[in-house]
Amino acid sequence: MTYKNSIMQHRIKTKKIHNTALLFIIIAPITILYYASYVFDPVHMGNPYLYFLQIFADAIAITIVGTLWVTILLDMIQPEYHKRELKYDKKWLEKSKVKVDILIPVAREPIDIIELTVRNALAIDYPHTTYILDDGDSDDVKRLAHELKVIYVARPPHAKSFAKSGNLNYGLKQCKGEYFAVFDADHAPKKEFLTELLPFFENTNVALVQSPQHYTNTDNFIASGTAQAQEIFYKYVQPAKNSYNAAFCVGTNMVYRRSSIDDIGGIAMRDHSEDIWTTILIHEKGYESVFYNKVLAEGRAPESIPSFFRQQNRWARGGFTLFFTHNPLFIRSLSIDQRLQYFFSNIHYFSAFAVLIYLLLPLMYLLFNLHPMDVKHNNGWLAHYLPYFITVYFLPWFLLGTLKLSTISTSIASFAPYLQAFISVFLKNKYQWVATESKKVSFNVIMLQIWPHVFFIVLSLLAIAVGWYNPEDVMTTMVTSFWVLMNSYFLFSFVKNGLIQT
Amino acid sequence: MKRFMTYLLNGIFFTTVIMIAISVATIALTRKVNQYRTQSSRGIKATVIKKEVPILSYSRGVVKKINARVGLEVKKNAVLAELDNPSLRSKVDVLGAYEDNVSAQTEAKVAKEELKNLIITAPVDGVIADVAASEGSPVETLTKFMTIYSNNNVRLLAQLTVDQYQIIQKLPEVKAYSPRLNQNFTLKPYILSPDEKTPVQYEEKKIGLYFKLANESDASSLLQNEDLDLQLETAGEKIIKPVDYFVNFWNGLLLMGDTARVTRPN
Repeated sequence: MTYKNSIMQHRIKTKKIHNTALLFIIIAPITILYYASYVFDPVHMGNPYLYFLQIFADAIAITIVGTLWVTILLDMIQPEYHKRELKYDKKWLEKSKVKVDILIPVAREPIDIIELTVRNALAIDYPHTTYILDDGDSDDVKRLAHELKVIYVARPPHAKSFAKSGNLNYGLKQCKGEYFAVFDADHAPKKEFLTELLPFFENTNVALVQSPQHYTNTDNFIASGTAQAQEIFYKYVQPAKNSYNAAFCVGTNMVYRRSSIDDIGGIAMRDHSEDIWTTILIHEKGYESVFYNKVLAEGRAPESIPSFFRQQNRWARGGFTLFFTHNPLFIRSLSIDQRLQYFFSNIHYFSAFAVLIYLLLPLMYLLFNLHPMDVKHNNGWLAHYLPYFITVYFLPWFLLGTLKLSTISTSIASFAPYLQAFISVFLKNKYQWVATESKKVSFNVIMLQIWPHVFFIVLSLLAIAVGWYNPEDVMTTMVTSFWVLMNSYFLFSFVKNGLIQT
Repeated sequence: MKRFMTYLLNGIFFTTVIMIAISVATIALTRKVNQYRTQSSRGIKATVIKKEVPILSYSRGVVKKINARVGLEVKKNAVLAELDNPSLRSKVDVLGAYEDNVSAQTEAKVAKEELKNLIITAPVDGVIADVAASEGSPVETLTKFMTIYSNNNVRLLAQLTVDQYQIIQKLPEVKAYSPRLNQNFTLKPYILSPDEKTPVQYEEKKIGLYFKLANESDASSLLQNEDLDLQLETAGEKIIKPVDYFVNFWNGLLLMGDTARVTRPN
């Protein structure tokens, strides 16, 4: 295989990008600047406090969309000679006969899900040793390990700290292989997993090869929403990060080089988000990471509201903690590209503030007749806002060619766990690690998690009634009511489908 | 048991959330209705504008007597002032002696007519606005020495917001209240006033609307530049809607609205 072909084969192929994505690249700056030129002009200010909130939210939203735009664009316009060189030769693997361990950390997940993953791991067609790292001290898992003849490792109670990272590090002490792969209990690998990923390690500087998370349970509402949001990340963002050597580990479906991990002192010991911390350490030491955009494991996305929120909260905590305690923008040993890419990923979680403000502002109009923008220029506002709104809301359509209700619903609804994460990062609350799809928490009081959404839906309907009592401006009231109804419908379908599942 | 507790806790939370939402909406609605009441019943001033009629002297002379003072109400044809012109009077006397001389008689007739002009009467019903002469002072021909605010064609000008204007447009007549007289007047929308000033930025656009009195005889009791309160709701009989009971209840409870205003006697 020629050098050039090998590169071409492992970059995202241009034809995979929808034409609509090009459309996004072209129109996004126009619509965003058009709107920004209007909204950031204080001449259009209405109520000053609400105006401040509005521009704060707009600044966040524009920054997040803008960083996504920059990421995709920079990846697209890279000239061929400038593209990252990746060694990839399967013959190297046949010659070198490396030893590989497969680690499956589990923590009280349903036994059938664990069994599927372990059976799939055993079926991988490259010689390997499989370990179950059980943090739940489950007899079922022990029996399963015995039955399938895989190595069962359980931490003694006094060594149980730092959740998954602690579990992995404890497991690594038992492993001898030069490489190790990690699968969460709910991610079942395909048999070609190792033969596809290991050849990247011919380059001795590569410490991590990551493959995408792929969710198969998309018949579920919440899961399909999560899956589509993930799809953007794995189709556009990770490949772009990869071309800057900034692709980061997502906690499952990846292979690490053991010596590199030992070099950085093992998997980063964190209560959560050890994956991204480990990747930063890897990059800080000058090692490389590779993202290989081919689905090599099939996972399950969270299906119920509690598990979805737990997952989002965990990710957001990771993002916020990194942002406030170890902001990648200021890590000197990283390249400027890496710094920016980590930073872009971090700030995504600030979207919660924007969503919250966008939800509340129309209610403030209907209830208290307060406008962030001056009513004098109402028509101007709508004309400037609509193109921007379409660009932002139809982002999944631009990038993936489809737009699902579930995607919008779940991404709006996740403002609650994000904010929760923000608050707990600030209060330095300790994180209680629970696996994404764990059975033990099914008796949770669900209202504790969805009260912001229920509150918003109820208040929206009441606000529309109040708004239509002697409306000051029929047109504005109509647009605002429609807007509020749409938001409550998104949240309602999230709550409804989530409750059915719970 | 665990299941029951879960349902119970969820129920309590759910009810609490809904109660909070309802409270917020109630406060908002009460606030809005109170605001609307303020806007529609008070705060809109209509200013009385009377026409200024100048009183001119038609011949020269000395002011002999002034029967008017500023603020005096006068009827049409009432004598406002008397002028004196001794030379003219003596001319009449002298010319009157030549009874056979036709030209002298003609001249005397003219002088007599001129003497009639020395008595100045009110051209319209109204109120004396200004007196520019005093007794004993000389007056030239065609000088303005008094002004009357006419009671004819009295107009009232109100500056309205767009929504106030929309309310008024639908009404055939509007009640206006004079706090000075403690009396209601009926007004009819008349014509829009032209926009004189360019609207100030950040300020709500206002529409100037002229009213006429439905009953012209009311004009005498109104003063120039007096402000009347327009009452948009009292044009028809005040209809009490369910929302009013609701809001009145909360006003009483939360002490939000100005209840005194609502019960003001008309």
